[in-house]
Amino acid sequence: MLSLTGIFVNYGHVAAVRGVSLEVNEGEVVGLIGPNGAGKTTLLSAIAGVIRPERGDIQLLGETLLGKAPEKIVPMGISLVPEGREIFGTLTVEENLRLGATIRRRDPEVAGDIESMMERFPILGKYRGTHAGALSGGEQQQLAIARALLANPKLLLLDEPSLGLAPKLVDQVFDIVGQLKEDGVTVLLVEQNARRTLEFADRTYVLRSGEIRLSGTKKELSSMDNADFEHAFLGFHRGERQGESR
Amino acid sequence: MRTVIQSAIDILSLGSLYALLALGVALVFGIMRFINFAHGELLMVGGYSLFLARELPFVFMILVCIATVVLTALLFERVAFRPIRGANPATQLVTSFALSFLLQNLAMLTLGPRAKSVGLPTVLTEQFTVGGLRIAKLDILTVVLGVVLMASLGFFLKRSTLGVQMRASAENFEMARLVGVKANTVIASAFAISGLLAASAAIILVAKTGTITPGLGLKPVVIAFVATIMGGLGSLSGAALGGFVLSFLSVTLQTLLPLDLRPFRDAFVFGSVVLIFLLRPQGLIVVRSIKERV
Ligand SMILES: Nc1ncnc2c1ncn2[C@@H]1O[C@H](COP(=O)(O)OP(=O)(O)O)[C@@H](O)[C@H]1O
Ligand SMILES: [Mg+2]
Repeated sequence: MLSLTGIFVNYGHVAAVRGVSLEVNEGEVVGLIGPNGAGKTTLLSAIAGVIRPERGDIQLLGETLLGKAPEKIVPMGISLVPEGREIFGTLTVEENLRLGATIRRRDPEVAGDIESMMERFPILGKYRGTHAGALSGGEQQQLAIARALLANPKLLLLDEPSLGLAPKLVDQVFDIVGQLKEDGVTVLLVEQNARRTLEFADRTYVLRSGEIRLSGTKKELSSMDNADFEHAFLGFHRGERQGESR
Repeated sequence: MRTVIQSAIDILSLGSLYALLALGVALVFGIMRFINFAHGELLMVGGYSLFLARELPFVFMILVCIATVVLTALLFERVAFRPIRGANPATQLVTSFALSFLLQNLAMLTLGPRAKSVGLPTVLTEQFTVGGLRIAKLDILTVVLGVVLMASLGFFLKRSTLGVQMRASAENFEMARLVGVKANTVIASAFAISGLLAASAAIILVAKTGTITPGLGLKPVVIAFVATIMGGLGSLSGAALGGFVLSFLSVTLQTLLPLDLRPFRDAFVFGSVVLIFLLRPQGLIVVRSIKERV
């Protein structure tokens, strides 16, 4: 469904992503893990059209996304739940949800979908008229996911949805993503929570210093030797003193 | 007592004009994050369009003025500002200065430096007397127009889909695009509305003074600029409030200053503004979510 081939992204002289190829198939939950600064957010930004890659191609269902503005990519079926949630804090919860359905102009089902989203995430129904900035971190994360889902995406990009949440709320976020999977939504899940993502996703890629170091199915990766996995993730074995920094 | 009521009317009327000026600048700033100094030239274009349409019935003069100014604002966006969208804020600011000078000189070359005058219907310029007070009809009309425009703008931003999209874009432009809000539509709308506000201000201004010069927009844009910053850059209600505060200072100082100091009233007005900034460096209304554009 989504395929990246040989993607390079630079910020000035910093090479943030260096030749990444990856594949997400319909109905899959694909994990993308890696240490801080690995280039995960950069990769999602490139897919969503926020950053233009130097080289390489990104295709959704055979159509290239390169050179398309973010607002052109959303209607093609990709929604991003960005790092830090980025809900519209000065707008009400309900307005945030309405904005999620921006591309569905004249779709009579939008109002009903917003209502069912409020049933699915009761906290959003409870605070529908409240400024979204007043919500707690976990509530904002639910709002950000609900907002993205209201575009009826074929593919959902989630950037560290559990970041900064208390353990109980992290569980809740993974539950939500599990639910999405059952509903047949295709998900590319970026996480720093490596173990948990490995157990959760159908397949996982490990990104470090802008390159894919390891990839495999849940089965392949979970049967892997712990030390080898850590080496791929961190770039050095625990106990080795000098680690390669990015 | 009579002077107090008289002054109150003056404050409200001048404040409405200033608020319309400030809102035009603040609306574009909210989304684009730069102050459009060429906003003053929208007023100038509005003034000259009234002059060029002076033979037409008054209603048509107004329609011509609104259409011309809105189109000019859209043209500004398309020709001058869209190509440099995302450039650093200094570039955008300098571009708006350049545009402003260009248009003033263009007006000077084509229409001459001398003031043009337009006769407006006496309905606008008459005064009437209530309880010993002489009130200019124009003052009342200005206040009514200001209230109607501000209320409509508020309603539009609060209720309409495009309005919600504009508020979202003002808070976080990139995220707005990531939910599918069309950047070009939202920006063009902001310019169009700022054009509508400029046209209204131009009509009031020309009705007040009766004359049109290439430098017509100079003082108004400074007022809009100061009011917008005083209101806490990025807050529309703050900008409108800033307009009323400026008008309050201006009218009050005009009545309270000793006669020999009155010619320097504006120096005192802007001096007080400096004082306000010293006391409230963030502006009158603090906006939580001004994010730097990347
Ligand atoms: N806007 C930016 N400007 C310059 N460098 C950036 C920018 N954003 C990210 N980087 C750099 O790109 C690299 C990858 O960052 P990022 O994609 O945010 O990593 P991750 O999401 O995996 O933590 C890092 O070295 C980071 O410092
Ligand atoms: Mg990141």
